[in-house]
Amino acid sequence: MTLLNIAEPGMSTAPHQHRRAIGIDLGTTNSLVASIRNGNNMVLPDAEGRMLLPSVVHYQSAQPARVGHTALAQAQADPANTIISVKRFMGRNLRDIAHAATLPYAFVDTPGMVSVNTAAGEKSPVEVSADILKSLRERAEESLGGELLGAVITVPAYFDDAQRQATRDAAQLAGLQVLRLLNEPTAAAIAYGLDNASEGVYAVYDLGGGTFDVSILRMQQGVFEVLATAGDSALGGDDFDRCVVDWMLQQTQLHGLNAQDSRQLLSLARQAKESLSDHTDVMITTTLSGANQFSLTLQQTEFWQITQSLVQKTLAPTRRALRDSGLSVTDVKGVVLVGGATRMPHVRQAVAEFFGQAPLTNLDPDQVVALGAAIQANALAGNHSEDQVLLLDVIPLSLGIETMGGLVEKIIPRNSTIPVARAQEFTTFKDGQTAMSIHAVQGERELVSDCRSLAHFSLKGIPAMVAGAARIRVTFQVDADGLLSVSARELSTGVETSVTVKPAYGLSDDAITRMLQDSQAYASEDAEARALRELQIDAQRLLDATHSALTEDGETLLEAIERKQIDNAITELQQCLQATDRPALRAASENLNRATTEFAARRMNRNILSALSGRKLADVGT
Amino acid sequence: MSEISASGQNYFELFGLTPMFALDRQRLEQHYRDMQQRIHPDRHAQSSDNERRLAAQWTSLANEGFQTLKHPLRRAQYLLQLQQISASPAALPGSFLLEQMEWRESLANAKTRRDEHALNQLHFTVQQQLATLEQQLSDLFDKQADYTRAAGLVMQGQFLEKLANEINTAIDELLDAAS
Repeated sequence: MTLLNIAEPGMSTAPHQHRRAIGIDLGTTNSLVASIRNGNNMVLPDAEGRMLLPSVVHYQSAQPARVGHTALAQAQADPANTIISVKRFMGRNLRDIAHAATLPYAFVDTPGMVSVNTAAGEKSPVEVSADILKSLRERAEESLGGELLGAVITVPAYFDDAQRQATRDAAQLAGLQVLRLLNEPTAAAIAYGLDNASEGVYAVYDLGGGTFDVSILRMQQGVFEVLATAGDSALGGDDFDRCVVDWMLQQTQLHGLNAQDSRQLLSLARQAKESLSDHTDVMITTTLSGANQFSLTLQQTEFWQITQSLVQKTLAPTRRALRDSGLSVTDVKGVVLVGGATRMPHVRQAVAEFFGQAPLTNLDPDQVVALGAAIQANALAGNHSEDQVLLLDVIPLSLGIETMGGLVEKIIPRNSTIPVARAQEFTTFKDGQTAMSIHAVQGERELVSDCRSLAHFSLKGIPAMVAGAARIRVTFQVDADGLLSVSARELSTGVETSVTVKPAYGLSDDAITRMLQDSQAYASEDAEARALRELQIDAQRLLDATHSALTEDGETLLEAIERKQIDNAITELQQCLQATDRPALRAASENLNRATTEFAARRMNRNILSALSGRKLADVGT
Repeated sequence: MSEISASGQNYFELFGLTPMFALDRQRLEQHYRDMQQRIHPDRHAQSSDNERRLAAQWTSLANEGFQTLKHPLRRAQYLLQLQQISASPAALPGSFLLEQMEWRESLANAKTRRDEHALNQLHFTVQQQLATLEQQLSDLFDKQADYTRAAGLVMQGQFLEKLANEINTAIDELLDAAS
């Protein structure tokens, strides 16, 4: 197999070649994959022509996992091994999971994140999600005819750091290079924004299977700016099903159901809910184990009544997002509905009443997120298109650190545009204190105990001083994926420590490595070969990037001698690329990186200067 | 070639604006968007690690600068910082503190009575006060260059903003409980 195409020096490989990139909507109930192919943005169907992949995985002992429709078919017969709505467990502890006792799974209260005991062993939600992603990756590779550059994967805007990290880990496990974690409402807005090509403020109301998000965005001059976002990462269509189950149990006076019966009632409830979007009543008839039979009629009006409190629950975050954006209902030009649960007429009605206008529904609410993700994936892959928009997104929840008395000092407030970096200075409170413990948390409440703990780490080696003399600067950095890293530095001595936030609620690196080794994705490749291949891919990426940078600015921004140094480093790296000497390849890559540091800085400065002098984008780099 | 570096340049310069309180908001937004179009990490997703790191750093700086300048009180604080002037709570007049106490009492009462109308009224009053204060700041900064008095007003503004936020939270809690 040819791994890489090696180009001659000065000959740029990639720019004219379309890079295969996909957008994935990893949903609670269903998942989709979309891609831009020959200029058309489309959801990629499976071999049977189906667009939606049920987000369901069925585990059996000594057999590969089933994913999607075939897994869903096992839900009733084998509920304990059929994992449904795994998204609700991502980055969560057992105690975070609502209704855990009523679910048919053998939960294990593993530290960091809950897991489920199945016939195929203990499975972390990350592994289950990876199985779903892997299935979508294979579908895309088959459909697009080759290896993928990478994927944009959508997450609920209201996902916290642990949930985002878990999603990223799942993608890694599925053998996908993550181009970006993209917020679902933002993805939907891109799809709509491009479709309707109009400027103004939009509200996106996204009620999925298990999560609720609302975002307020402004589209202006090709820039999509998220002004505010709010939501509830544990509220969705599933909760409506549960209401119907409760109603059935109340009507029939049944109790103490086994796992199979519970699963059956949930599935009936879901069908009833869906049917009531188009019908005024629905008949629910079934036979449960032990020959328990019942037949009930649920009126649409009664369904609306028993679920009205859930609909109301979505309006509080909607109000908050609007207020945080500093706008009022009259400023909103359009309201976009996303998620299958927005098909329910009483949800639509509530949204229409709140915003005083009928929501836009010209795109399929099931597909719109994946389509938006595909557009962003195409842009991030470097496949330039005319109507490319730039996205400026925000973090949904405030980030801070624990201070005296268990209080939270916010460092980055919610709805800050990302990427963002902010520092704050702290000091010691005891004489001679030589270490400081730093506890990063996420949430809006004042008490640490009411927020989500993200990471604990300590800064050691502070020289002994009187209390209050040390100056410790804590820097929070959130990248474009919304992921946090924290560093701390004592300013008088330069003692430094930093951590990429992960351990408290996510999976440790060791756990990820173990899962990678276990996973089928890499069964045929040994670790050595994989490491080499990853280095080669990175090196090729660096070469491509350097080639196109030189083509654009090599003449104008470099002296002859500088150009020579870079060319030499390129030649050296190209020679290493064909060998299997990993240390040499790494060294040559680092060398080229070093040789282009100044060049990169000049290019960025040129970009900033041209922005200030008001030149149009098209004039730059031509 | 001329160079801009992250250090030693203030946010006004970063966006090509004159340092003053009454800034042209549309121009700020225009320059911010133009800059993001060129420096945002998404525009450099396939560039080298060096360029991507720089893109993230510059974008963080532009985001922070934009938020600082966009928000009137933060802009005022930043102008004071550029003048190396800091304000102390001792500068707050007694009449202001008295008014604050009265408003906080109204807030507490409205919360106890669960009176949404009263909360909205109070919020409106505080917002009006903030708007007046911004007018005064514009005068003090841009016409009189009286930074000491401006510092006093900025501190008042911070009190008002904190109060407005607490009123908002109270309204949210009331509405959340109702739904």
